[in-house]
Amino acid sequence: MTHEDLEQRLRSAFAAQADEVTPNSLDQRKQRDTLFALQRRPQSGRRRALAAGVAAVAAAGIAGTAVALSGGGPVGNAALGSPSSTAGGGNTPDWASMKVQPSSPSPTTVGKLSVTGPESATGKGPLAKATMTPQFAMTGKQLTVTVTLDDPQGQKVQFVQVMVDPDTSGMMTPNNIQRCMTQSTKQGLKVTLKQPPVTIEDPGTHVLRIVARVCGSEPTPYEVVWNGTVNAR
Amino acid sequence: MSSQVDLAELYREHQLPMVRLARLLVDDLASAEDVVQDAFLGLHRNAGGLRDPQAALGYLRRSVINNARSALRHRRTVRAHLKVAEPDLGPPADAPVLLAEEHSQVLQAVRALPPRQREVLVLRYWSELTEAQIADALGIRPGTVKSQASRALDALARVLEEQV
Repeated sequence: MTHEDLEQRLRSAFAAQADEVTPNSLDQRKQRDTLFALQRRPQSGRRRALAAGVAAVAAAGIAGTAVALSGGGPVGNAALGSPSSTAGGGNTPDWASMKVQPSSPSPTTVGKLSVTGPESATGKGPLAKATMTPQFAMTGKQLTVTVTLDDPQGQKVQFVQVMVDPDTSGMMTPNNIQRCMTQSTKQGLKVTLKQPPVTIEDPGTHVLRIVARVCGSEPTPYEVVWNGTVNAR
Repeated sequence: MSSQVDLAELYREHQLPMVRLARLLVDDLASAEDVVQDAFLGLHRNAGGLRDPQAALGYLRRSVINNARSALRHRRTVRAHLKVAEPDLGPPADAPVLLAEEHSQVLQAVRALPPRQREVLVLRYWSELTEAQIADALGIRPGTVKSQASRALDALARVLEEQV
């Protein structure tokens, strides 16, 4: 085979593969997001630092605020995050569409729940671009956590574990690690994982830890960890 | 004050060819789109002193190539770590199943080349850049472009002849 033949084959093969990418095959949402970002005025380094500072202060404010959501029924429900973060989506459970309210007295105190923690958590290493946003619901003593994962690099996060007072309840057991989530829905790069409820036996404040992990990534797990507290009365 | 480059216009005009370039370098469309998005956003962050659209295009191309290389490196690391759990990750979802067999063979052989050689071939035979332009895009000397291209073609010829 001469180099000329090879060059011709290369040109044809590259052209054929490139032609598979058409305007219709591109991610429309990503295009809109990028265009929107490009049309905004870029910030200078100083302005970026200032904006980052403001964002950090705002985040600290969010983290320090216990947000409680009270359902209209006999049980309390809770969701964490801004009101807009609980707007019902195509795959959002019914209870998650209830509005977030500040921790003001709720219509009923039965099963009232407060959750304190970051609105979302970001992973490290291979999951540095992944963001986990948890939402909460309480029925009696049963705390149900639904986690939305935005995983732009597609690391296949399938496993979520919710731990109450992890220091006393112990580390993950091999049994837990095997239990990769199957109850998931996927929209683009966002995956929603609903965890079976955990029981909170005693009222009061408990440490809450949520770990989302790539199955099979042990012994150095690829994971996103959310740390917060839950107060159940 | 001279006008700055209109990045939104640049995006509308060059996004598709840049995604195609990235697609040839990273093998799957989703990663290619990420690579291009990152390149444009990087350009946006540093667009203050940018006046010349051609210079912007050159910057963009270099960013796409660098980001693609990073994406491949990252993917190799992840696959090495996931080897036990997922011994065979298989081809990307948009693997060229519809491509003619002859094209698939060539592309498969190109994927096996070292990243630098692959980049040289893509820029030369798809982007149709000159040696000087390739050297500029990759940050290497024109002589290196020539030698990398020659080695890549030799390696490809060997692989493809074995398949006959």
